[in-house]
Amino acid sequence: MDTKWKKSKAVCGFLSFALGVSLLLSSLLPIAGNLVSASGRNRLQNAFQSDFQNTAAFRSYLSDTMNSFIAMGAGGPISGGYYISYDYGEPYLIEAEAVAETVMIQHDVGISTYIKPTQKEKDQWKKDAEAWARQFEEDKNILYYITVNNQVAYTNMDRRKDAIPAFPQEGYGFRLSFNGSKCEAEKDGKTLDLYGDGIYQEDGKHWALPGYSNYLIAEGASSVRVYLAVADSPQLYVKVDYTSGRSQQWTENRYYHHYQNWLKNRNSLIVNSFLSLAAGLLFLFVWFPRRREKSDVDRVISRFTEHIWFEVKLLFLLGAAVFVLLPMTEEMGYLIREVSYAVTYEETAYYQYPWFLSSYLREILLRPEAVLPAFWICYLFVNDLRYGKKPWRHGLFGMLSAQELKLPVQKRLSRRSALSILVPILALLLFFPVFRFLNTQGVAFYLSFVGVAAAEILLLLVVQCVYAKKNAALARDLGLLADRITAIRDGDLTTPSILPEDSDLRRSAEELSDIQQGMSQAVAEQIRSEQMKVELVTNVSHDLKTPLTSIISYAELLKQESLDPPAGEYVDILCQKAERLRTMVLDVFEVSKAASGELPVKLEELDLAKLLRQTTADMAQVIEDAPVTLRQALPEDPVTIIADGDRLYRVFQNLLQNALSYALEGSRVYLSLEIQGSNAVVSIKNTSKTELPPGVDYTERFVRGDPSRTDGGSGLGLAIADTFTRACGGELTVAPVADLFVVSASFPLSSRIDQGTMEE
Amino acid sequence: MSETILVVDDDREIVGAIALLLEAEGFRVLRAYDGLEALELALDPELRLIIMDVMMPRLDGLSAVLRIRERRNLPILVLSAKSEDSDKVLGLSMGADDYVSKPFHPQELVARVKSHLRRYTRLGDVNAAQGSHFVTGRLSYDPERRTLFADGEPVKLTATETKIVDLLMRNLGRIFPAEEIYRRVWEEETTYAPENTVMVHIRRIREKIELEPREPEYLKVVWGIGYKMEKK
Repeated sequence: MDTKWKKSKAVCGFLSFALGVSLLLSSLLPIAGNLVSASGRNRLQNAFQSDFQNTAAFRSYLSDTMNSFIAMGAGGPISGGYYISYDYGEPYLIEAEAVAETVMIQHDVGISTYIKPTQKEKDQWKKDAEAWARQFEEDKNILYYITVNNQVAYTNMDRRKDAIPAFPQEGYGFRLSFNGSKCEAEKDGKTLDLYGDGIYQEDGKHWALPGYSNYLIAEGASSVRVYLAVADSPQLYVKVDYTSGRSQQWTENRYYHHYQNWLKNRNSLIVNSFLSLAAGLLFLFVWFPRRREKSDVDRVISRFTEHIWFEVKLLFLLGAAVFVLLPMTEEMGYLIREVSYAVTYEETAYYQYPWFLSSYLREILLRPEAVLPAFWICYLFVNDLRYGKKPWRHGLFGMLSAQELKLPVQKRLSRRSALSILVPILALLLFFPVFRFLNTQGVAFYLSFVGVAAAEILLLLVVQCVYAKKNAALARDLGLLADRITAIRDGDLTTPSILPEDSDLRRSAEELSDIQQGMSQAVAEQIRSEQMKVELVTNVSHDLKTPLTSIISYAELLKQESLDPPAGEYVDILCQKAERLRTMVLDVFEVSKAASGELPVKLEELDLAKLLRQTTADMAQVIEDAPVTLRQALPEDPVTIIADGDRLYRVFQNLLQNALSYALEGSRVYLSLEIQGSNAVVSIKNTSKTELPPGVDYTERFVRGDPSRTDGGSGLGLAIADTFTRACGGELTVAPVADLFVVSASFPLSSRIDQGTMEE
Repeated sequence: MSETILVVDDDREIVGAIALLLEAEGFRVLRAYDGLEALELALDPELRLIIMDVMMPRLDGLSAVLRIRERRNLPILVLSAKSEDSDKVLGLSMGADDYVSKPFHPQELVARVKSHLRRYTRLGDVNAAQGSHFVTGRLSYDPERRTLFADGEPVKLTATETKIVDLLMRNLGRIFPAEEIYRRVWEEETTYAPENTVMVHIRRIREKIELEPREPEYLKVVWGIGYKMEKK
């Protein structure tokens, strides 16, 4: 529950981060893009204008139109005329602005002021003017009339003969007029200040109209008066000429499209940019308190991206960069063309470098669909670098890199595989240039192709053969080394591990030899100390035996004397204890010998069930005298094992003796023999007289259930049983359960054993 | 009786104890405390038996036995604190007749001494009667009289015991499972494992024929297989 909650919190944090950043980027990028250029900045301003008539686009368009009308009146060329045939069906803001800019440029340069026009040109301009007027004929968004020497020359309003037309009172609040030298404007009856401080600047904030102190007008236009009124809410005007067979709209409508553009642009800016900006901020607000959980998700993501080759990641990064920077190729073309043009004709290019850069930047920023994926690819890349474990090591380069490897053989191997990949690649890359070179040097096509191919194949073959040979040598040495390891495991500690001088694995082999030597020394040491121990025990028990002989003998002699009552009893005790000491010394001797592996065993096939019956029969007197009952469960059928009968008798005699002496009085001792799988298992169970302390290894020498007990055996009973059982190939387990003392001896059944190996 | 016995051991107390035990049985005892002394005393013509320790200063027991064997033919018992089988074999191959490992039971030693002396002194008569006897070590069995002799002395056995001895002495060294012994002695099949029944009789026979019934030399249990009379 808790982890689930934490998980959902982390996922929520990450999602809000991703959405927030995406939205923020997709909204901020276009805004930034607009801020880069002047027209963009104007557009931004326009979008925030509530009235189209306050926008730069309106000013630009209306100035343009006014200039055209003045030109019409003055009989000059109409700059807007170039674009008459332009298809306005798809209004496009940038194009429309380009128009305005072009118009202004041409006015600035002022073609007509410097060149004396011919009559033919003048006729052409007249035609253009009439065509222009026809176009405005049906466009009632802008009503105008042009007078020359107080005679109406052009208008799109009802006109009575020679009368000055009058603008309608309603719906056309904006008026603009030209009085031969200056312009005047009023909006809803209020006069507007057109010129400001009277200095014209090409920044879109000024009206591009004559009348500034630095925006003069030539003589020819002084008799021209232009009056125009702009509709408050523009409409689409369509006129179709069915007679000419061209069923196209054939009216100006440019003002309408500008207006529509402005509306659309405003909506898109506000909705797309500002709403998504707000949403993005909101998401970031959600993310911020969960940033720690979010980084967990980052870690999980890095765990996935870890598996990708680093080269692939770099490729993705490169792809992202190319995808984002893609416009560059186009812009680069412009730049080269413009610069070369400027250099050739020694003209100052309008497409100057800073302009190019800003337009290029705008180009990038205005394409969030390219920037966003690139951003997220970068994000994943950085995330991978941050949380991944050395991600650059995972990949082709990482595989070929030998830096992390320590041993010279490792370095050599990795260098070999790196070269075996790089050489073919190099050969492939070299093929074409060499082939081309030979071809240009006059070698025949066929000959150079075959020649280069053959040479490269030969080179590759030689390289691969050399590697194959080295690898074969390494494989052989590896095999030798592995064989040596197996031999050492199997106990061969004397044959030294030696590989040829130049072998990659020579050092490892030498180290193996060292290990071998160390082991053989340790084994020798152990054997020696084991032998010393046995010798010590033998000597000690020998030294014990001689005085013990005297004790036993003299105790016996004392026994034969007729002694006064208590002395006789004392001698009996002496005799008993001397006898016990004798058994103990013999036991110690035997156990130490068995522990050192010097106990001779005579293995033969025997019937374990019979052996147990014989043992109990042999011990009949002891069993009868014990204060417990022996319950036997022995199978009638022979249970054949391979063992040393004398030793096994000692094992079970000891175990039974133990059980009988340590069992609770009046309880039962159970002796059973069962076949479990391929084993014969003898178990002896008795209820202990005393509490069994836990965690005692009863097969250790000199261990008894109760450490404080001084009566009974030597403490070697179980140790003898254990060593003898093992000498016979069996296994003795002591598993006390509460007060139940359970000893089981398990022996493999002889039918499962290859008898040849057991004869020793 | 008053037969003379030489006891050799570098441990004076042990020599003393053995001497006391033997003298209590009526033997005359000579004492020696190393191999060289033993060589001298071994020349005594009255000497009938030697008890010799192995590890002694000046001349060790086994070398002494070798030297004595060159001149005299009498039973020699070797005493040793080493109880390993290899020592026993070595001692017997050097010419010793018996091997007793320390620490021993005094009664056992006395019994062995008596046994050897009996065999040694009666060797002549036993040999004469041995044509059809089954002999192993100090035991011989006369199948015609169905009598077992230990050290030449007839052993008193019950009818069942005699049947068992008859079976085992006729087949020296052969191992008989309890079932077979039961079938051939009691002459009936058994449905239960007769180990207990047989073992009881075996134990009783041991008491009569073995010097040390707890460590039998002749009537042996072959654990997990059966019983046999050792062939010596």
